[in-house]
Amino acid sequence: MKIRILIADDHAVLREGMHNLLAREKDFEVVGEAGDGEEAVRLGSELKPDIVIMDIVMPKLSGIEATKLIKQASPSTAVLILTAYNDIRYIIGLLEAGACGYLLKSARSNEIAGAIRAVRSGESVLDAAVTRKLLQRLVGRAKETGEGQTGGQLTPREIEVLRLAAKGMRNKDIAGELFLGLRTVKAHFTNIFNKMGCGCRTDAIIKGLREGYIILDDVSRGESD
Amino acid sequence: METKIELTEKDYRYLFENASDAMWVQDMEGNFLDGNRALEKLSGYTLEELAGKNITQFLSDEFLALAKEVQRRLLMGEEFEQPYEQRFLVKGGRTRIVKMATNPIIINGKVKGFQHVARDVTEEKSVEKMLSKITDGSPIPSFVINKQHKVTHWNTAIESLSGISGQEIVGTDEQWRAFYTEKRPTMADLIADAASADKIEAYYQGNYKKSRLIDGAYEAEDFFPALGEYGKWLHFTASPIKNKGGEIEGAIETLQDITEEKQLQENMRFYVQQVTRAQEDERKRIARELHDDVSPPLLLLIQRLDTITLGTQPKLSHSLKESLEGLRSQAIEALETLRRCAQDLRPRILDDIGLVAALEWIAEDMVKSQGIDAHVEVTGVEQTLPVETQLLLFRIAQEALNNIRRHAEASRAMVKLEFGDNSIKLTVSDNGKGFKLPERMGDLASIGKLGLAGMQERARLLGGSLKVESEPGKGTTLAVEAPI
Repeated sequence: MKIRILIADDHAVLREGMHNLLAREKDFEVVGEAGDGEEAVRLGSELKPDIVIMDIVMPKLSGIEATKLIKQASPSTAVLILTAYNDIRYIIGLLEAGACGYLLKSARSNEIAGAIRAVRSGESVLDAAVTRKLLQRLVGRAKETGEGQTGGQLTPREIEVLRLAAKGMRNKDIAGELFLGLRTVKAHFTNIFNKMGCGCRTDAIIKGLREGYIILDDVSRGESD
Repeated sequence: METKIELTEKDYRYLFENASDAMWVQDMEGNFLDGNRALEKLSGYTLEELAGKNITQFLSDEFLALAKEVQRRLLMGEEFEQPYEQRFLVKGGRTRIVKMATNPIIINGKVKGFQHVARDVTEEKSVEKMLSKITDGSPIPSFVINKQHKVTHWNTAIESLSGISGQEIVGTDEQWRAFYTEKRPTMADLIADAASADKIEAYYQGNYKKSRLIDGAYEAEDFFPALGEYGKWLHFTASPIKNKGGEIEGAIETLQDITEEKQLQENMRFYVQQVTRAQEDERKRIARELHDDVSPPLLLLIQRLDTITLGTQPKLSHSLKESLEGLRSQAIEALETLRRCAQDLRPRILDDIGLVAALEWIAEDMVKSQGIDAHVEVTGVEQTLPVETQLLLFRIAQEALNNIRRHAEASRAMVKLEFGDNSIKLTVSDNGKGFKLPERMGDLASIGKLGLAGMQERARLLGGSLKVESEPGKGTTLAVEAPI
């Protein structure tokens, strides 16, 4: 099955450039294009794409507000935000709004394609340092917000996979750690996403933290970048 | 039971000799017959020296005439007001002004001489005269009250300022009528009572300060809605009037109509605020143009270079590929520079993510670039703020951190954001070297603290005010509280 993608950018030329770039990849399908934040929310909610490539500064509604609304309407959609800035605090802000990851605007086409595939396979698209910082911030708040609803119980193996992901480990390393094949790890992530109603690893880690699958120790014991 | 005390002549003598008022007896020719110690003090001569002298030696022609007139009236039994004012030329040619009473001495139905009681009022008189001279001749509205809070002087200038005539008010304690609609102490009243700073604070809430020039004097600035058609701003100073012994005898208050100055200041402030707003709008516009109009073509260029080098054309030589890569790097560098410019003008993190994130961002930068341990603390329920509020608070914090970076020599800095129900408070503090504050916050710009003055104007735009606490060696704390 192809990866279904929605592009949201107010610059027609850039949108077109992105469309052309993605169209070259055989496993991608661009299902829609939005020229402003409101259109992005409407199309995101209707089409429930696998991935949204979202610009931040757009008329009517900012990409960040649009992300929040799309995540409500379609939790399994993964939003990748296009940004010019990669200050860690800025990225954390994007992730807290519900984005799975970010793409630098000057990224190469193969990097963009790689990131999209990585998101789908549960791979980390963030620096381990960013993940750790995000989780440290969330740990403090998780207690206050209380538990969310659990869609389905995760198996002990799935929990293990999720905890290692929270440490910022790549799929390959998780496979090595648990003596599993890479495909198996991907399959675990697909199951985790389905059970938890998530679109990507970042989502799953955040939810896992709220639901108690991940504890503070898993986060803070993460290796340094 | 009643004990009748009979005073002997000896007792009377004692009272006479020790009275604080000068007393003496003279014969019909004016020769001194007897006097007391207070007379010695008044005249400058001992009683022995006075024994051979005549009263006329102590009087100028004008006042000799007065003395003769008093005697004539007493002899004729005519009424006149006692005590009366008289002037004596005493030892050393000095003039003493006295308030005195005179009575004939009658022996066997015949007037044999006169007895006098006199109090030296020279000092009081000269002070009063001087005050009259100063106040009456001055274009500065002023008034004087005595210890009993009665108005003693009310000059022409204050008549025209207040619309109340001196005739109406001198001798009363209604000076408040000129300034207030209800009875309350004026600054002069407080000074005449030597009121404590607490009491002055209670009436003038921070709008006053101790005079730097005059001990015990205070100056203040206030708006008086009851004055004139639209109210007036007054700057007023009240100083104690003290006698030689240092006791407060009353107070003088001078006033200055500063309404026009204040209006100018207000206009200036309004102007500065508009400029501040315009500057932010301009920054935003430029940042936006950089982002919306200048970046996309560059991005497109980068994308195209990328497409070419990706190698869809097999004929591309290695060296050409390399130079294309170089071009791409250059274009990315140009884009980065452009973004840094935009970021400096208006940080995206503030508009995209919010105030807290933006504050954390500049704090982190401070840790990274300066090694100053800076952090952000948020209390209360975080809420989304209007764009302008958020921007003003951010700019205040940014300027405060810049000051710390440049001047404070601090090792720690703390940014605190407190969300209340209807207000927000931003506090920036450091453990640096601090500085000496001006007496009034309005003087910040004039002592070169332009950054602080700018923060103050931003605080006003927020509908709040800036509070600064600092002392050399004790760090600095800035706080802004604004309604939301």
